[in-house]
Amino acid sequence: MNTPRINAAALWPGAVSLGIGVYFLVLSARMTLGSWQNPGPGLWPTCLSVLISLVSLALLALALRKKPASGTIHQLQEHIHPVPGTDDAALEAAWERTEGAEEEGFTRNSRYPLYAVLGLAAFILLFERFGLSLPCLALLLFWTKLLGKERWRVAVPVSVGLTALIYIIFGWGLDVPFPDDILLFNAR
Amino acid sequence: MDTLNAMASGFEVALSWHNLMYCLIGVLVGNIVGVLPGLGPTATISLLLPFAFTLPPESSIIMMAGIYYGAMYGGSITSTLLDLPGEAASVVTTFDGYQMTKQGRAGIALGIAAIGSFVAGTLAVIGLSFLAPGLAGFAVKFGAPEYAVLTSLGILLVAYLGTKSFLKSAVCAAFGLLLATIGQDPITGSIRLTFGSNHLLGGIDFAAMAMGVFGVGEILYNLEHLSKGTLKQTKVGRVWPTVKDFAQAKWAILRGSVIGFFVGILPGGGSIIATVASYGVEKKVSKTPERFGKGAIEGVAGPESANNAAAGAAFIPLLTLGIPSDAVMALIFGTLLLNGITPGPQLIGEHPDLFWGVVSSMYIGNALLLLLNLPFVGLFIQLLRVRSSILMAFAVVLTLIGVYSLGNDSFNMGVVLFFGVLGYLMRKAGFDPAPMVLAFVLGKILEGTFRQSLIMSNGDFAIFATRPLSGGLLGLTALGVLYAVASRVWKARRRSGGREPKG
Repeated sequence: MNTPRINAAALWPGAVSLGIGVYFLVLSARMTLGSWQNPGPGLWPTCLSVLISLVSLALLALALRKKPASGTIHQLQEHIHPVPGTDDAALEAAWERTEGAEEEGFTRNSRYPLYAVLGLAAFILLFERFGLSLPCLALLLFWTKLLGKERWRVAVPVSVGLTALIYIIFGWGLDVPFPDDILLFNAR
Repeated sequence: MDTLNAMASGFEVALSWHNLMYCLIGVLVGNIVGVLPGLGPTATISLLLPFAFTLPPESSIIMMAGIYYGAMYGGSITSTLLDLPGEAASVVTTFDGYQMTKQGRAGIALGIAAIGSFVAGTLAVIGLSFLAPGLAGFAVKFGAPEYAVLTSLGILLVAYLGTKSFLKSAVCAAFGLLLATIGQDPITGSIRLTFGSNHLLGGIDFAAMAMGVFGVGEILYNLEHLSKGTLKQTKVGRVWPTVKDFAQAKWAILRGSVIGFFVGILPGGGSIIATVASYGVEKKVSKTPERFGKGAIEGVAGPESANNAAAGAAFIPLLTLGIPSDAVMALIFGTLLLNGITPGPQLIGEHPDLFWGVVSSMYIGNALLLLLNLPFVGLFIQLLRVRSSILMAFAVVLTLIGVYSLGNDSFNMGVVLFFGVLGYLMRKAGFDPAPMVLAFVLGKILEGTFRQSLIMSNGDFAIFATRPLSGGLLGLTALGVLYAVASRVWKARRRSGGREPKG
């Protein structure tokens, strides 16, 4: 078993944030910087972008030093900042059971959030063209049936019921003007 | 006394029938989402922002506060009965709470948690009522340099305490500040970082960002980490603790309340640290520490009291200094801003109805929670039967339509989706989204006061150190940094010198 020297999963967060820092630095530097005596609109964003880039470099340096499979508990301890009197063991357990203790790679299961994002994007586009009812029904069916793996006899009535509920809350209750609806005759 | 008179008028506000109703809705919703896995109070409050904006400010804050401390109650139910902490703040409760359940003392654990929470919540509110006006009176003297230092200190503390990696949180905070600069520059009026979009001229919509990062981001993250919750049938048994139980727990409740209150005042201190600190103290003080982890009632009573006291105390920096100390406080901050109210030292003087109304509603809310929880614990557990797929589907549609309803504009639906993806990726990368949103709401204030200070001093950075108040705050910051470095060095030395056996 050959373990790689560099842990790729540990590198991507720092690399992405460095990219963001540099990108915003380029954008900010195009604005008027002014001077310390009379700061222009670009000064503050430039300072922030520099800060992001520098801290990202530090993150990358730390990630490079980190061995691939060393115990996460030990890594966690490096990051924990206790208040006097705290119980170390308890704090460890608390962090461990909190979501996302460390950066994680993408797995086969990561496809579900991807599908969900595509579904939501489709919903937004359809909503602008066809109004609330049909896209809402489609999104709910997609979510409960495909992502939630409910049976049809659960997914269909739930989707229809929730669509009606949403329509009642927003359409009637709050009087929100939706785009023209393809299914329901729209008076507006 | 002034405070008592003010409080009496506060109760008038809180006891009006509609505010009473929003208080009840708040604590009930909070209690429910505290029990439900996968949807925490921050996500819930974000989802409800469009609805909250339609209410008068005091009603919306009363409701949001109710959700916040109600969720603390709810979280203790699942940790005790099922060893499933719904919230990070209730993880510590599982240590002894679940053991008590195994010993058939589930009801007593829940009962003492509810009573402890009630006592702590009430003590915290009393502390808040008496401490806040004084602190605000002191902070009224603050000028731009003080605000610049105080705001940075607040953001730094939030990035430092309560998160796993300071560097990562610092990146998030700086990114949040950067996002706050999008739109028109408040001083020169020039347009910044809008990527050519007219929709971004007014800046990123705070609600859309929060709903994306906290709501959709969390839902996407949970989709990947599908947990198949199985509902084990648990008998709750008697809920009222016996006199003996109560005698054993009463000091733990009081100590927990005090610890929670003071940790809660610190920005970023929050409930996790409060529960852990309280558990540590109880174990140290106890004559029989070996009982801890095996169903010691103090191990439930202390931390549960501490997290509720911390939730109440978190309002102090927000309402007196204008510094939100965690994600939920940032949401409340944003809501107040959208209502044209700037949280800060002037708040108590300018909007006494709001301040005292919210404070009084917390007394009432705590009493309502006690009334709801002692008899209906069994009912709340049944909520775990709700399928998370259906709940999430509904939440996600509610978010998108909700944000559309804010301006009847589908652009913000895209903003929600964008920040949802960002929030998901941040969670994957181990970045805590809370410092980003918090820095975002403080961004305009920090930039404004920073630039004003420099103009005042003609570009001399010494202005932040030479004025007595801001210099004092800077000194405090320096002390904090020193302490942090020292404690880390000490810890590293202790670790290299052979690790203590875990007890």
